[in-house]
Amino acid sequence: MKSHKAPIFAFVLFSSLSTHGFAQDTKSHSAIDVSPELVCEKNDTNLHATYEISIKSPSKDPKTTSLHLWRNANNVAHEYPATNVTESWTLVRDRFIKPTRYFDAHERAIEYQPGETIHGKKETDFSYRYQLISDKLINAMTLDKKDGNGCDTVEYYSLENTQGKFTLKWLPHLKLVAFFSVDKNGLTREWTLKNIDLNANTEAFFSKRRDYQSTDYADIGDDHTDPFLTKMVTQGFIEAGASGYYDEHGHSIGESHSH
Amino acid sequence: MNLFKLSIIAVAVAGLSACSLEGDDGNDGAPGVDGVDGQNGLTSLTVQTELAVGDANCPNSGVRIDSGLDADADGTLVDSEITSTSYVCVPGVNSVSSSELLTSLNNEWFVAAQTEVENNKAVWMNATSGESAASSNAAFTATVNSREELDAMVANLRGKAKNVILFVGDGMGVSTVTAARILDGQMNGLAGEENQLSFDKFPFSGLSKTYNVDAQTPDSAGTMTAMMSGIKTDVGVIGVDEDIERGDCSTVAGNELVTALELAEIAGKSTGIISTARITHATPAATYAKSADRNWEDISDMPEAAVTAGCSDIADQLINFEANLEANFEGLDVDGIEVVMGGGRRHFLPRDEAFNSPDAASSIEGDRTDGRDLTAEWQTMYENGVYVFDQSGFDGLDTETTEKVFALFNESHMQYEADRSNDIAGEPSIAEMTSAAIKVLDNNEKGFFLMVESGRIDHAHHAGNAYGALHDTIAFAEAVDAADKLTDDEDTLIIVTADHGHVFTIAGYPKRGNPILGKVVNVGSDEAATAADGTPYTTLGYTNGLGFRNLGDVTNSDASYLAGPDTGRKDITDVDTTTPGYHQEALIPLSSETHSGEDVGIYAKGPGAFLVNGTNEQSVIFHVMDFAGDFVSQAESAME
Repeated sequence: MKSHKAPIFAFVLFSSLSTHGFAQDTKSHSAIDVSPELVCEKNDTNLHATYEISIKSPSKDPKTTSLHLWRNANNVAHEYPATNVTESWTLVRDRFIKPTRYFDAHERAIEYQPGETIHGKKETDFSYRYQLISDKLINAMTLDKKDGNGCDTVEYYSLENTQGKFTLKWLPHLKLVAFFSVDKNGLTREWTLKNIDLNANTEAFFSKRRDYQSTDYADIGDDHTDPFLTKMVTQGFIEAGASGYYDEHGHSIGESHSH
Repeated sequence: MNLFKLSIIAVAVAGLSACSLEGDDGNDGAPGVDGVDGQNGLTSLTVQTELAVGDANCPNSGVRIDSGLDADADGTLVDSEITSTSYVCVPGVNSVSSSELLTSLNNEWFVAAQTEVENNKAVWMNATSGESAASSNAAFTATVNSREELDAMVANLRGKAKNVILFVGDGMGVSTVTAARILDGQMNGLAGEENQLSFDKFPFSGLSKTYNVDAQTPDSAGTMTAMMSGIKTDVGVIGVDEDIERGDCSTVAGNELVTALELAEIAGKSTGIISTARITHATPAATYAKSADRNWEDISDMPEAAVTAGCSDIADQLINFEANLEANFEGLDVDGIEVVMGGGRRHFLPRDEAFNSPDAASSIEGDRTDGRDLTAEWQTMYENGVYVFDQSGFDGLDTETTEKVFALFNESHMQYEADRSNDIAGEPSIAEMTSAAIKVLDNNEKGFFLMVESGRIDHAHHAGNAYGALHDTIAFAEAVDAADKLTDDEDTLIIVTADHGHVFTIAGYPKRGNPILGKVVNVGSDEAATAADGTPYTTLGYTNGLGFRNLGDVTNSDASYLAGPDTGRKDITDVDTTTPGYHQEALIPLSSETHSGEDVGIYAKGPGAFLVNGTNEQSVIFHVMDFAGDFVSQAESAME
């Protein structure tokens, strides 16, 4: 494994992104404790954002976990510290999406060919992975409110359909979710942006994982002597890892059957 | 081989004769007095009794004849008067007239089977005649009268194949062939079962015992080594014998095996390898590489100790095949492999974005950590060769003038046939690759050896997806057909086989023509049959693996790997099981479905094909190819 020096982080803190819906949030983009100039200096293609995910149910204890969103050019990754799994997608020729799953605890990777499918749905919408929410869903939502200007713009969306009630606080310049919630029958899932690092050494993050021992997932069946591959049977996958990003059926929230 | 024994029968005849001494005859005497008239005698009676079928003495019916004297003169023959009984029985039926067999004789199955028997007899006589090319076409009958003549005939059969093509369907067990045959037929509007894949029509077939030296259920590395080298070996190792220790570089030296491809190369023939998997994958690798571990596809896959100890990765061995072979045999001068087509670019390129192919699928396509670009090295080595990475380059090949082709169409494996349209820059089908390869290889008047592997039948089965496995099998059969059409039975041996099977079953009692990917519908019914749990079940299934997935129109068989196993019975009442993304139910939960240990089929035509019959060790396939192509002798002659 290669070692990398810790980068000097330019930390941008979202101070008021609570777990409640944005409809009650009267603050605008001033919620970001950093000058709009700094945000404007950067673009959306290189950042590290940290989300807190909470799941609240009338019948169960609330659960909280975290998700790290990493972007580096045409690469995006979702790192789940709770399960030590990182899922990564590379956009190829603005058309094909190549997924890779990193098992960080084992420093192993499973590679998939572009054009292949995940969870029974072909990976065709990079925005869904890149932003955690697809352009398609945003376009289907109602823009209720808009604060700030230019790089400082914050947009507030809502949608209610058979899948539940959706609320979104959106930072269009960074193509970043500031807050997202889904409420259905009392079950509430919330994604809250806790902090963002626009100067993160994202190349190091991806480079480290590219050094993992990699197996093409078509080759898993070739070698039953590999303890890691055997362990994958019982280790479970991301949708079972309480990440909250998928529902109990492995469908992406708000995106079921839409790809 | 038949041994003919000669015997001499001597017959001795003995003649016998008799002799005696005789005197003169005397005079006749006077006549005597007449005697008293005697009493009237008893009447002799004979009675015939018809016997029905099933009689103890005449099972097929007949007549019982009782005779005796009518002692009480009552004109009847009672039991006490019977002095003799005989039977005249109707004989059993041992022949039937044609008119009595019209039902059978006019039956199309009967007619077809009789024709097939006659054809088989003719094929066998022709193929073993020792005349012509010993193929399945020439008509000739030979008689041998001595061991010397027999030896001469056998010698005449050897080496009749100028060209040898070995097709390997990775994981294409017998059940896969059957199901693919039915699916192919059904896609062409037939009931399906009566359909024949291209190699179903081959005149000779046999069975192959696939076990490895150390494994009851084998893997592709050990099995392909057996087929290519004629020697069974351990699971997971390439081109080395069983004295190897997997993963230990130091045990390679001295245990390397010579392959049919190498012998053909030494003999001056053109050589080629095609795979829809990575060209460094176990099956193609066993044609050209020697490795203590099938996973050492490039240097980054190898332990440092193996690199330090001097072992080369498999990709490196492919590029340097010519030099390595010449180094192994003093004074040898060969020209290298003419055709290489498949996937696996990652193992030939350095881990550096600057070396990405134009259609790279990853940010950094290459895996090599030694900084070498083996594709560039190959092009430097073979200036007249053509390096191809996409459909466009493939389509531009001039097969009559191109001396060498090195085609790597994908970073990893090539696409599943059902998924081929998803490729970034396009990929040729296995049939297209086979045709192009033969057209390049047959420019050599000494002939060629070609190995063609359909690598993704195996992968689709591992994922528990019959749709993918069967469609790749059909594509494979089309490649065999293409090869058959481009070659002559008189001088080309084609062998089609599998390295191993899968735990893939065709079960239940579906009616004739029932969709092979569908649910079982019993004979006489239009509704899906239900199991004891009250829900329907599919004809196709797996003993183990990931189990049920319903991914609809997903054509990629690997999609199921993204979730844990979900084995056991599922209610598929409302599921369309014929879609590309349906994954069959399985019994035992495993991370992937496994190989199976039963025999696989061998199908053959052309010179030497008659040697394929019965149940054989898998390593016999090499020896059939060697007999037909006379590889060893020709290689030895070339080195003299």
